[in-house]
Amino acid sequence: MSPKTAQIRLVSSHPEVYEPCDDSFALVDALLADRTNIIDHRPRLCLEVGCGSGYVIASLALMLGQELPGVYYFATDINPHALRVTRETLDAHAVDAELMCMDIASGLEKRLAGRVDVMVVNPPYVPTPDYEVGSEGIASAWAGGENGRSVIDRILPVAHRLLSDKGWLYMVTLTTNDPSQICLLMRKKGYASRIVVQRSTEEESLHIIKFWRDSDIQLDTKENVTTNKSVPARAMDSLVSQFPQLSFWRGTNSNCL
Amino acid sequence: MRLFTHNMLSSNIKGVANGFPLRIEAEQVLEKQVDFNPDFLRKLFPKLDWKALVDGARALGYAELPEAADSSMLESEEFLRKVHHALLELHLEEGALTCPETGRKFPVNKGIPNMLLHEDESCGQSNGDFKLHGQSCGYRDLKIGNKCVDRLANHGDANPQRFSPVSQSSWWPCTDVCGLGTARLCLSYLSLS
Repeated sequence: MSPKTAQIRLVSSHPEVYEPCDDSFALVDALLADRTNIIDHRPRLCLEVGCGSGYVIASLALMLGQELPGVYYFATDINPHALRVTRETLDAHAVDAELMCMDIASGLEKRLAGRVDVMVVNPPYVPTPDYEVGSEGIASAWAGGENGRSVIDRILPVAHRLLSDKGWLYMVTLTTNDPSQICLLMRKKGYASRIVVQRSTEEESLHIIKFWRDSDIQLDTKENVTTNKSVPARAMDSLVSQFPQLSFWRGTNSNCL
Repeated sequence: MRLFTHNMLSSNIKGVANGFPLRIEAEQVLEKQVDFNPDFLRKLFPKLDWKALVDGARALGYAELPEAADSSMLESEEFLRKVHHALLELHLEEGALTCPETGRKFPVNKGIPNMLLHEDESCGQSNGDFKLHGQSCGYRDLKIGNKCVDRLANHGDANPQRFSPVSQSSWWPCTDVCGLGTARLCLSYLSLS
């Protein structure tokens, strides 16, 4: 029997809440693709930042639930409507998560630091004027500011703070967000990365990237990143070469809505 | 909202040093049964703030937890069942969480705490050194670099209590990898407090 994900017909909705779309499906597909690894990883705490309709966190709880009872799921969103919709979506699938309305993970950063084993983020990645970022309602689900990076760049340090030593981060990015540069930023903090799913739709080219702490990446104080296995330049080359289409795949400013 | 979550939540208002634990005002409490998982509780126990759990449970009308607890008590199933009930089966459905330092109330509706801050309550969030040379990361109202100095200086004049321990800790990343300019910035920033 194939593992379960949330069913679209059971996902609740609200005019001010982002509905599951290509990016949500790609993220869930990435989690499914990595599911056996996650199960072997035996996470105890999972967190979704920006849960929207609840499709992703419900899917995660469903796909892990049978093998991993007693995992706790947290989900946050800046939009209060989204959390009510997420609650309905979770209830409809008979799974549970603790829901909190906050900006990224602002109320959890002190006490949950270093304790999240799996963190999942479909951030607002669409390039928009900066003033749209974090606005009320559904726009907060996509408005990403310059290059769609405003919120992503605030999420990365939060992820670094919250992830446990064995913590994994799965994040959706658009080509316009410059995912290879995001990987370099995370590499400076000691994270390896891998593209789990890559998908091009008519309107956008999406990468679902997984990050994990890699003890082979040695950090030094001069901002140079080196690895035990290869010279630094080669490490960067191989990292960037994960994104072969960067030069000619250009995402657009549009969203799938 | 479970007390498990309450144990992880703190008030993030600017100027607040600790913001934990949030005081609970309960209007409606629900109980939902969850499978007993002693292993989970044993692993979680060292990370719990016990007093916050005891006070929280009492606020939800459950007074069975001992005032003090240590890891030797984890052998007792009776004890673990009480912790299990308090931590995972009691839900604050309606009520509020109050910041212990500012008295600011965060409402809890339908079991969902609303921790959103108003613009003037939130700390400027530091991206620290999450940037590459020559490229600034966008974030809400502070930027690493020259602009940052100006803004901090202004804030310092206008509102000295902004330079609180919590802000300091949110600035730690600047010191480890950023260039000298940023490190100096942090120092001058701290010395203002």
